[in-house]
Amino acid sequence: MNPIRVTSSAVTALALVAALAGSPAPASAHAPDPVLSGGLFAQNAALRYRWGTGGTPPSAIRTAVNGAADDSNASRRSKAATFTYDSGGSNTVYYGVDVPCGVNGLACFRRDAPTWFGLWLRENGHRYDWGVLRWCEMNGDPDGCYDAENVVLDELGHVLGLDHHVNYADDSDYADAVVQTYTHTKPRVGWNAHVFGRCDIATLQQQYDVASWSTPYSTCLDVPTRTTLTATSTDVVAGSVVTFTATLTSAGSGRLSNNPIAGRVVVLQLRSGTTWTDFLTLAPSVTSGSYTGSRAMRATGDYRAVYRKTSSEGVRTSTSATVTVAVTAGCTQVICPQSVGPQAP
Amino acid sequence: MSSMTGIVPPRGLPGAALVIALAIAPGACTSAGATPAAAVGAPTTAAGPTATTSVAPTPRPTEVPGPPRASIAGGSAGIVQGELGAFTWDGLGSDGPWIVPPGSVPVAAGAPITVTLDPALAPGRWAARWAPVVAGSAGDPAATRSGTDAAVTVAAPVAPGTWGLQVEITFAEGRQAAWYWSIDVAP
Repeated sequence: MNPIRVTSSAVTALALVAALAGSPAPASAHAPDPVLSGGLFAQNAALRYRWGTGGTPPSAIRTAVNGAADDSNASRRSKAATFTYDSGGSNTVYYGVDVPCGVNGLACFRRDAPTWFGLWLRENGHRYDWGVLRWCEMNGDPDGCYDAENVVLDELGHVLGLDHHVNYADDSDYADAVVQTYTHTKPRVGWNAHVFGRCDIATLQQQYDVASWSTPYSTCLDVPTRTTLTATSTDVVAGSVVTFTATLTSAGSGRLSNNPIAGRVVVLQLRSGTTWTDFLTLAPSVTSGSYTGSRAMRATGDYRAVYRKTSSEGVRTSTSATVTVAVTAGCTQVICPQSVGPQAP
Repeated sequence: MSSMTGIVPPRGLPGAALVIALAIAPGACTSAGATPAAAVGAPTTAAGPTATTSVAPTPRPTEVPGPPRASIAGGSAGIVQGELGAFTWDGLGSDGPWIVPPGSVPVAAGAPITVTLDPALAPGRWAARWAPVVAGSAGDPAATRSGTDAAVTVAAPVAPGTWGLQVEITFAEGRQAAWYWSIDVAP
């Protein structure tokens, strides 16, 4: 230890600095969790873990660890790796006294992506300078205990590459992440959260991609979208059926760019004067991210497709370019010009 | 068995520790608090990746770098070392609670406090949070200061009582650590 001794004059200067420096809250609050250095596991990698030799957890903690693995698998909403207990697994979960968690750690991890991870939990009853560790699962859930399943889920988030979430100044968004700088005890908010928070999921989606094209994007994200519109014909005779096809894709960065976005609601709008009104809800087609609908055309009109953001996911509204469909009066001849092509006499 | 997997502070820059100015009152320089980066051993046989599948075992180093020690200088207690809480450091990480160390540091209301790091590492982003301590536990944070400058600065709360102070610093390469103190603000 080699601290600087601060002189009185230095203190005066520092006090002035203290009055001027700092900002009220971290600017990145409510953003997706930061990312740990060191790379990632492969998409959907199946990570199998076993109990460390000499460190097999007691039954209640084994249940908590396996529960946390299930929690991670079920709530990742991404192609992040999954965790499964396997007595022959190459990754280890260790419970006991000899853990590399520093003097104050409840639990800790080591990750060597994409190859290996280890996870350690301190033993129940461990005495710190500041208190005694009580795992809820082993002590009947008294106030002040730590929920092992929650703590292990936090560690598994780290294994997947998540760093601690940056909270609002008053921690009012604590529930938005399980991967937190400090762990809450019962009964404080989030103490027994058994699913990843939306800002944990956001980073998992950014790093590993969404689980499927219909998976909702985390509301901790704000991903732009892109909507396009085409028509089978833009010059038709009245009464002809035109099929409109819209495509909806993500326009974010990295993994979240150019993803088809399936299973949403895309509406075809028609312009009337200066006003656009909903004309037809397009149905999802067999191609992910495509939506189609057909109508018999009666008059020339301008059309566009709109995807409207909903409150249940973190993507933006987008509107396609306008497609004009020109409609001419129906012909009474045997062969109409439109049906034989522009070169027809 | 027994290669120890200790967490030790990285070899830092030569010379004096970095001053993180949190605002302090001058006082005697004594050291207190637990060693934040103490070595805690784990048997290789217990924790290492003993492979039973095609995945090659990953050798575990006997020693890995960890966060620096952090101290504050303030009030009559002099320099007081903080308790290391959660950290993530080069593939290793630990999680813990908001620690309320048993020994409180007396500080005048609103007094400036300074933090030193040993070894000196330049913060990339920092946040200092104050939470009221009731019955030995910290409540929700009541005030936060943050910044990106090398000199981290805050002042002690004006309201008297016992306060928990958390200083969380993010360093280069995604390294991050939080330290805790218990502060007594005199009426």
